Amino acid sequence: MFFTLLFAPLIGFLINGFRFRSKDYKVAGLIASGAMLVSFLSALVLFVQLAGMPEDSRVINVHLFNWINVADFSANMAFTLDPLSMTMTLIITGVGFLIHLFSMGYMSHDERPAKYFSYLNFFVFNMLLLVLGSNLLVMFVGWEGVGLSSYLLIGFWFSDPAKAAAGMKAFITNRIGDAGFLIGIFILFGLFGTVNFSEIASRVPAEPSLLWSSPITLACLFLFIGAMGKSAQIPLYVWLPDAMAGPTPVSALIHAATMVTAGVYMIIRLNPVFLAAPNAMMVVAIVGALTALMAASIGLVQNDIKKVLAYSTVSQLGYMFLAVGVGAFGAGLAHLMTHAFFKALMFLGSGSVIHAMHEEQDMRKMGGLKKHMPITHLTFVCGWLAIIGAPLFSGFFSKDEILWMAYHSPRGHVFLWVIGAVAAVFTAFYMTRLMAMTFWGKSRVPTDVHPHESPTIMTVPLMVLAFLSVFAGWLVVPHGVSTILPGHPSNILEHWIAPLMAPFEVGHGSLATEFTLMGLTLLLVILSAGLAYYMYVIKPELPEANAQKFQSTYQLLLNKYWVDEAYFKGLINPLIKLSRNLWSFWDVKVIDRATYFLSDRVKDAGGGLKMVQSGNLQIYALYILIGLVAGLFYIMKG
Amino acid sequence: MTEVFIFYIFAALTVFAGLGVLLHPNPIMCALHLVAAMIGIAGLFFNLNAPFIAAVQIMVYAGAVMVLFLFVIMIFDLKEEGRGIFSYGALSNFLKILFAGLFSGLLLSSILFKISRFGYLIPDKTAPQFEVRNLAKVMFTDYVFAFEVLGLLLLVIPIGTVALSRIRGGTHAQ
Amino acid sequence: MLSSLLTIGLGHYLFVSGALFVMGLLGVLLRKNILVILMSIELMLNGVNLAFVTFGYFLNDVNGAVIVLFVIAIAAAEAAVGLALIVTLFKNFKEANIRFFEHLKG
Repeated sequence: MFFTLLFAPLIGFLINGFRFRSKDYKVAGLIASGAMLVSFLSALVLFVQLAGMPEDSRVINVHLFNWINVADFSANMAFTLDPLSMTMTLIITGVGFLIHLFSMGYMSHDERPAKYFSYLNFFVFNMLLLVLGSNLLVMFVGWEGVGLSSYLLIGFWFSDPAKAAAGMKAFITNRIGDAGFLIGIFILFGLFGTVNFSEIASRVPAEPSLLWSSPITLACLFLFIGAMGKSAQIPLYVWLPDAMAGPTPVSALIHAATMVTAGVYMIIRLNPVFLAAPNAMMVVAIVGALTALMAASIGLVQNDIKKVLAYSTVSQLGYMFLAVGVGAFGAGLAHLMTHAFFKALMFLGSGSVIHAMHEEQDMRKMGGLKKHMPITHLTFVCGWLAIIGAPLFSGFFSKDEILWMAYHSPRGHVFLWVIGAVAAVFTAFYMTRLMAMTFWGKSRVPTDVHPHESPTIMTVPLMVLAFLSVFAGWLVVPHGVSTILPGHPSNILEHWIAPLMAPFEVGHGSLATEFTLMGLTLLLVILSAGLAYYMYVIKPELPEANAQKFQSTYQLLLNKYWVDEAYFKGLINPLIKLSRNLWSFWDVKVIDRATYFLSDRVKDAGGGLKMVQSGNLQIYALYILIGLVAGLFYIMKG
Repeated sequence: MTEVFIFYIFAALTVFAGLGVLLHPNPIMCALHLVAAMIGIAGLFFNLNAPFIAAVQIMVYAGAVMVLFLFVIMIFDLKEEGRGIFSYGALSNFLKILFAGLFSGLLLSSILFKISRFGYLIPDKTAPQFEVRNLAKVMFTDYVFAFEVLGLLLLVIPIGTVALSRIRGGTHAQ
Repeated sequence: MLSSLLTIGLGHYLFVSGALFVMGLLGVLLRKNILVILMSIELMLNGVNLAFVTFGYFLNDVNGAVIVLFVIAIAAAEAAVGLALIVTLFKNFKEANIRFFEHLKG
């Protein structure tokens, strides 16, 4: 079962990879989706198997082969299936399967569907390596593998230089993070003498280290740099909005549901280590909160539907880091799961819209699509309600739990709650704005475009994801809410992964405070959503006026705080300049000259020696004679 | 005393014939001088109490090999060589002669000074060591492997020779 | 002095042998015609043969003569192959000057 789970996508990749010239999207899509279905069904069987085990020993270990064995260091190609990786595996294969199905509709007009589907399967295989690996090195292989497939898929339409550049940007930004991740692995190995997760967990010192410079804090910080790169946190988040250059299902699968959550998963996986480094966790929480706020504020004014969703993803990832940063690993995983559902749903929905609008992504040219695309609209509404945290939708439970933990956890702080709440308010605004500009209000669709509902193969995944977005929250009901929902157990997911968590007591806190904070957030969210509805549906001329009025703020947000420009000015251009100088001076004038000098001398020597090889047989005979005379001299002397 | 005369006669013949091979411009004359040198050496062999080897020498060299040489020369009608009989190149020729001279000097000094150290060897003239019977005994016992290999070589050589002379054109065709 | 001329010893034969060898050597080194070079090689081989038989005679050893027989056989074989090569070369190039074949290109 395990082998079909892990290797079905690899086999799908190989089959489609070998027939990459095929233009038949149906065959390619069926192979890829079939592989995903096999994988998903295996995951379900394994899940049943795992759930049937006693609570404390829910783990399936699979050992493939000894990979590296050098002196004290050993790393095996081994995999661990425990509640945490099982959850991730179900999300990856389940959502992945739906997105494969959706792709069959979305990529039906593409030139290279076999290549596309092989990349997609390759991504899933690497993602499974990442989550299933029983040690940091296997995880790192998957980590790099998903980076590679992400690069390939972002730049899938590489004939457009901007899209190719977006792929490179993602790849290079990720390299920075990966370097940090590797250094983190090195430090952990130096500390514990192993890279195996379970061994690391058992060797972590009981006493948290409060020093900034202690190795464990440094290790966590470096690992977090890796997470920053992969999960798009400040300051390495810049690649994710550009990654929207890829096909929309790719954005849904890689850049919303699965790959970008790898950093969160890694921190949850290494929770004992992070709990032993409170300073590092503080950094994680602060960076997460700031990212949530900043990305949400940028999302307020973007006009590209996918850009809005991208910044929304960055912002939601910030939430997850806020959660794990305050020690609420269960809440982080809960939000990871609900976010995977509703964000995948919204990306696929936006894909459906873009498909209907003939590759138009600018929301200013949409509007009033509700009547043309009823199913897409309805499912999108589910996603919208989930993400803004409408009560009883999945996002409500997971987000509320995170905000409550940010306030209540011993590692939390009221400021973290404030930032998170403001980000939630922003989220409500920009998501409502997105809905309003796309589906509601007056149509601004150009007359030559005739939007239509997408084919069934695209709407079915939407409906399944909408169902999950609405109801997945019941798996993660916070404790406080569960008190007013009699009979419903709280935090099922958290209990499910509890055996893997290091002891970290949070307690339940005062119910009154929890409900007050929840009510406050909810009120603000509703007001914000209402404001957005008022501005974009009832009085569509208002946004323009406001943009004029708050020109500087508007420009700041529209240009994403000029972060890209700052990076170029402060980092990339100086680097390029330095490299150019190094090239023109150091490389050309020093190294090249030195090597040319050497090679010239060798050439001269060869030129001199080649006279010896004249081809004249008699000269060769002379050499023999010279040798003979020398030998005779030697003999006669001795 | 006869053998002293025989030695000097054949030695002189051999050396002069050798000089002829070295210096005569006409290849045919070179070949004829070579025949003379072979006969001289055969005489010396005879003088060294090795009549069988002398006979083989005459038959194989003066007979078979020289006929081959003369055939080739005649078939291709190799006449006088134009513009000198030696390879050109003053410096290389100087070096060649210099080292050949050095080599001869070393050879001479070893004959004069090293060999004399063994004292004056007196051969047993009655010993039948070069008789065919003895030769055969040694050749077919101690050297039987070498003999077999030689047989193989003599099998391969004609085949190779025939193959070579049958080559038509090839990369050097003109 | 006279006695050393009248008593023929090892040295006398070896002198002739060495002289033959050096003449052959000079022929190989200096002559232009490939055929003559081949002849010079035969001359050198004969010089060596003479030395073998001489030593065999003066040391009462039969091995010297046996080796000479082998050398003669191999020399004959070598002459056959060498001549075949020269025939081929001459057929293709109408040239017997060794310097003509200096460059190993087609």
